[in-house]
Amino acid sequence: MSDMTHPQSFLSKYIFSTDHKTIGKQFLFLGMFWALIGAATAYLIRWQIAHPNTPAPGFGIVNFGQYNAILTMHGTIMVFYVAMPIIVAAFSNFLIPLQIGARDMAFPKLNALSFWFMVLSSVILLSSFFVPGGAAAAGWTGYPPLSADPKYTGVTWGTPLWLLALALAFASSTMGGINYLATLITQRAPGMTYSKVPLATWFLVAGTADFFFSVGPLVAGAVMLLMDTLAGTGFYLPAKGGEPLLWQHLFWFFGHPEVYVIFVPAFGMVFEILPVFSRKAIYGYKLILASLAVSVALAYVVWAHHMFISGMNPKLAMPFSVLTILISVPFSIIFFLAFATLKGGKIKLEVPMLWALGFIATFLIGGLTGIFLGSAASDIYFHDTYFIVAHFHYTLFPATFFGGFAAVTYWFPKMFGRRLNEVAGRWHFALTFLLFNGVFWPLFRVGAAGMPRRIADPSQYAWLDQFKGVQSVVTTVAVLLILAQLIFLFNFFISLFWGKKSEKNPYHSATLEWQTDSPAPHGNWGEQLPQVTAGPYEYSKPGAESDFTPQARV
Amino acid sequence: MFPDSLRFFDTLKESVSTYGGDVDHLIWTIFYITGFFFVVMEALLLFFVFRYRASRPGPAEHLPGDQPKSWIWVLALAFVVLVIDLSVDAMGAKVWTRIKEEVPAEDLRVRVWAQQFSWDFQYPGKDNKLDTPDDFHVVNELHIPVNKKIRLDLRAKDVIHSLFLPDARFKQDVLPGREIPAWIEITQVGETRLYCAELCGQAHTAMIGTLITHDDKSFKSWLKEQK
Repeated sequence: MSDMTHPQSFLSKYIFSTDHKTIGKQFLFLGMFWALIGAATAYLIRWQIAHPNTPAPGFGIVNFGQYNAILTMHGTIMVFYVAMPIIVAAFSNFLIPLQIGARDMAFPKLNALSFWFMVLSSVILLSSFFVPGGAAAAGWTGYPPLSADPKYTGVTWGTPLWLLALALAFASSTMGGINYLATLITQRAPGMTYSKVPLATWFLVAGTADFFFSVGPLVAGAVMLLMDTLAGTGFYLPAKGGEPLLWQHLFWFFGHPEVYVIFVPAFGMVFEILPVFSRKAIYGYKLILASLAVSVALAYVVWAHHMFISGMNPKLAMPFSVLTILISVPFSIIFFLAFATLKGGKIKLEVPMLWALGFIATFLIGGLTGIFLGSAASDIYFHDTYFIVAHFHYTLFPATFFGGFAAVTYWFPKMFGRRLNEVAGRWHFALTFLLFNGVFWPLFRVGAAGMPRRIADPSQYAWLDQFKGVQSVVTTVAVLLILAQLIFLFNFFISLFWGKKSEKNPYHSATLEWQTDSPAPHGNWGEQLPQVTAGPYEYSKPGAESDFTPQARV
Repeated sequence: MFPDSLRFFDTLKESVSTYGGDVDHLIWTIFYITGFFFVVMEALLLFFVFRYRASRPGPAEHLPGDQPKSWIWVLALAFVVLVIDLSVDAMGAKVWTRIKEEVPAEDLRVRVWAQQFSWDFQYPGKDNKLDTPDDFHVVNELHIPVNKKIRLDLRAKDVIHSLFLPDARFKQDVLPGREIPAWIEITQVGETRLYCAELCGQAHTAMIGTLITHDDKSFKSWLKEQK
């Protein structure tokens, strides 16, 4: 194989690599870098909420303009620069070829280009913090007219740079997404029929499908917003005959599926971990895939639940409300089947399993509280309050971090050939689980009292004084939550160089990626591609020679 | 019906509008439904982790659930979820229609102008007609009579705002370039909260007003004081 023998210099191996595993790791490191900046923005937001108009240690006074920019950047960074690179790009790249028995992605060069677009996008977004007028400050949803005219926010360069950075990030995701789909369709090893493809790969590709068919309208929308900002057009400006709600439709037509783009892959990776650490087959593999297909399709027709009170025709609210609440049906099936997978198993609480179970426990709360917002009439009250802040953090934090840590701790040996420290991993999980709930659980009650989100100065609302104590504790807990991540960072980087060497298949997993060496070599397999003979989850089968049957002998 | 300690939403203040009770009833219904699933599912998760721990004797069961007949219990449960969904929908639809779709004939019409960063309430004056010379404006204070249907015509001068009267369970975005009809009927005399719920610029946080509900007599005398 020419792929396996071509000479690799340092640059071509680690920097301008076209190897899907290296590109996956590059995305992982990029996402981890952005997570640090995302954490810094979270700290400043929390400081200002608990201790308004006092200097934040390490930063100083956060003025109102800065506060708006920081919260805009927090949302943008966490969704597009942390969740997308880690959950979608890193693991789609790393896992899909390994799980289906391919040597690489279908289009390796396009794949490398996808990463470097993301780097360019990152540089532009970072630079937008330092331009005159500061970074974009109209919220991560960027509603015009506010976002379209500098006179409304005082932000001049920040908004076009923000849009440019997002456009490059979308281009990156599109290049990656084409690859994930094409790879699944064309690069499967002999015997790897669609019904033998592991759930992580299916869920990653399903998430990508949600991205693909929704991002086009938003790109068009973003171009129009850019032109409103720079070229004097008025697509969204009523004064020039435009329509501000058009942006909201285009944004949420993408923005709602985007949430699925992030948590669907996380769910898929959790499904990869449950059978391994309970030594059970996935219960109802095909029913899970059918429910997944329904959820992914429904994700396209619920976007206006973000707009119940936006001023759109109120008669539109009920159809969207019914469709939104309907999503609980396929997701309840997915939850029930996850539980059925655990039932009768031999559950071993190793670190990846802790994260997977933690994901189920917390994401459930995000799902259930969604009903309060999906029901249009109760959304009248909760919309734009801290209730919604708590709700979406209970969906996106479990997806990005519980799902992300589950995946990183599970596949770390395959990525780097070494083991993470188990004790540090347990402490990291326990602290993150407790502290995460400590931050966001109280915010449901604060939101139920009517506290609006995105206010820079709660001290102007006398009735919020009742929550001074709560807010102060929440901020302290949030800082501790951020500090607890140092345990992970130390564990990660120390184990990367000095961790115990891992064997090929440390957890006795059945899927294909565990049948090759750890770390997987360039080209993934030896001279011959694996010949797949078994399904992905053949655990504890009566009469089998061991408690799992690998999908192929490599 | 339930002790207060069960009430996760004890922070939700009593509503002061005619339709507020409907919204609260819906919120509490969803609360008890989701609360039930939350408790059962979390308890079951903990129970499974304990009951099926690795240290128990014997091998794991082999239950691939790959036959459609092994899905019956799942689909039956999902059907229960569907029925619950549809009842929540039916209940919510009634409340939504009452608040947002059926704007009743009004006793008083006020035009609400939202702008960076204040509320301007335009009253019709003695002739009870808007856009006539006797109109008057009040900034950041919405004065209304109690137990009367108040029509609010919402307009924004610059960017999108959102009028939030939490105690009336009223919220409506206010857009530039169009007028959005809305209504409230407040059942208690007194002052309650009014603020902007949509990020509208640097001083969004300061876009705060007050809803002041008068009894008939005091509303009349307030009207007299206005020019």
